[in-house]
Amino acid sequence: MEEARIKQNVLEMKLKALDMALSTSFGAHIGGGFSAMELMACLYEVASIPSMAEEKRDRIILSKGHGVLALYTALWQKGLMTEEDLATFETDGTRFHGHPHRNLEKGIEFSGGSLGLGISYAVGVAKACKDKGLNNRIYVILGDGEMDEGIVWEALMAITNFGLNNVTVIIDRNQYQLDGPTSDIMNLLSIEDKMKAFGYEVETVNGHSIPELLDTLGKTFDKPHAVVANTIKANGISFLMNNKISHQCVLPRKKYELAVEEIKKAYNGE
Amino acid sequence: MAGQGGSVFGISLIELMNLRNDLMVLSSDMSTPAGLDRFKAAYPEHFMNMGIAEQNMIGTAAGLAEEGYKPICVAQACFITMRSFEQVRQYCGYMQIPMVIIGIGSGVSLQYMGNTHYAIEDLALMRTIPGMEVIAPCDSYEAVLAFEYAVNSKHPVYIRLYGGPAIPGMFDEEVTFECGKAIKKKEGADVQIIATGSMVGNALKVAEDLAAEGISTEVLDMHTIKPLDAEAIDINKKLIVTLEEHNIIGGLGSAVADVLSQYTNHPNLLKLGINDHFIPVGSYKYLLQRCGLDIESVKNAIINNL
Repeated sequence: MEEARIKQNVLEMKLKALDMALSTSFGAHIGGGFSAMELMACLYEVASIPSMAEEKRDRIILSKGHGVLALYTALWQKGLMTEEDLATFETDGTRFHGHPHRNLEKGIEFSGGSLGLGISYAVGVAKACKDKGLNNRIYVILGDGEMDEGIVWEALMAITNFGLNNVTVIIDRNQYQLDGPTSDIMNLLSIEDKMKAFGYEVETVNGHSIPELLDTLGKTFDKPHAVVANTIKANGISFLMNNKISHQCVLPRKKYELAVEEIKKAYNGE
Repeated sequence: MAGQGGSVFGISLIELMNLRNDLMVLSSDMSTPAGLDRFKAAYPEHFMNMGIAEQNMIGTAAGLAEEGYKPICVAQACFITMRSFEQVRQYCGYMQIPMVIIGIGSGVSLQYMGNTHYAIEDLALMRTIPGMEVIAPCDSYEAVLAFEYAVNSKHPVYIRLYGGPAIPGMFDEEVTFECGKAIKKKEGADVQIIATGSMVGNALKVAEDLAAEGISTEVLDMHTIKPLDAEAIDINKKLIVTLEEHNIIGGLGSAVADVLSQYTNHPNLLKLGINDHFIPVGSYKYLLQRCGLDIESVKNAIINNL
């Protein structure tokens, strides 16, 4: 069954991500990676990417570049990144550090890290793809904290202005940013209301529900599509959930073992 | 040790609050890494978290300043100088609003975050803004002195901080800090190394190694990039070397070259820094080696150029 298979993929992604986090003494962005695990897994299911050399491929642009634990492990599940690639995570001279660097061979569309830039880049990609008549989709993953940046709203406005209904904007609404809860730092109030006002077809999903994500992500409308995915930062790791330290932290071995146990237990328990 | 950010925001800022009540600290979702948690808890009414929005932070600070506050803005060096460059130019340059702008994690401090998070252009950018004072302190103590100067200055000031908590102290406590006045850390006859920020410590170690080779080296802590202490540059040396964790274009090396170009006769200038390229990602030690900024590479470069 489709859902069971993807659920298994997500389990493998999470365990691999924990291995990667354990391997680095610099620290990894665990929180924003684990909020987006199901999202990235489902996105690579829904998107049509027969090959990275295919011009008509759907584009997946991770604007919240710190979500690499979800991106790299999803690309590994897809067979674009290898075990060896992941083993170089945050090592000297690596191509796979804490923010993704464009590498089409490995499936990485965009060099992220500086927040807000990915959505703006996506405007150009979507316009060009539409002009070329490629009939593909441009998926952009934004963090909710990332929406503090002014350029995000400039780009969101441009997407509707230019009629780019080949775009799906996905907001990983994990309610946290580096300094704390988004509602304390810079209150976004209703993202849905804002996106509607900007001319989007807006849907809200549970960002950890595989069926909900599969149902929603592939949809097309006359308007550009916006999906607000309600998620939990560092989802599934009890000692990091609702804890701003999860944004970027070192995972000591004892904590790693606890996290592995919790992730496995949650998988078997359901 | 508290590091540069911790010393400035965790200790010095709190002491300054006893002396004046017009300070407003603004941060773009960077208060914890900057070391502001203690300050925020003690003085919540003197702190504004602007979210991840550097441009709006500088604009807001400008408005606050014109209505009587003394704003202190802090974010990563790359984003506060690059994304909000036009705002800094407008308010600090054109309007001459005396705010304090502090960039943390400068140079390649942010290691595995990668090039998006490195700041190797910030000195160049800030230096081009008329009226801007640009300071890169070499250790935590100098960072505090620079900060105290900046808060009391009538000019806009950019302070470039680097590294994590384990920064070795180099500054002699009896030395007074004066903006635009270099500090001679070591006397020497043959070579003058002009270093700034994180590289002052390396320069001192290089000078020791060169002494073993019979080369007498002077080390200058050029903490202020603008206004530059032109008089401290010694054209009677056999070689002048600039050392910075920054692109060789536009920073300290270029500033020194500007001065030397005014002389008919001057020694060769060896500009050491990041050689105008983006670098592979790695640990701090790895990055310095890749850029030729580790002690051994700097020493060899000087010997080869003498």
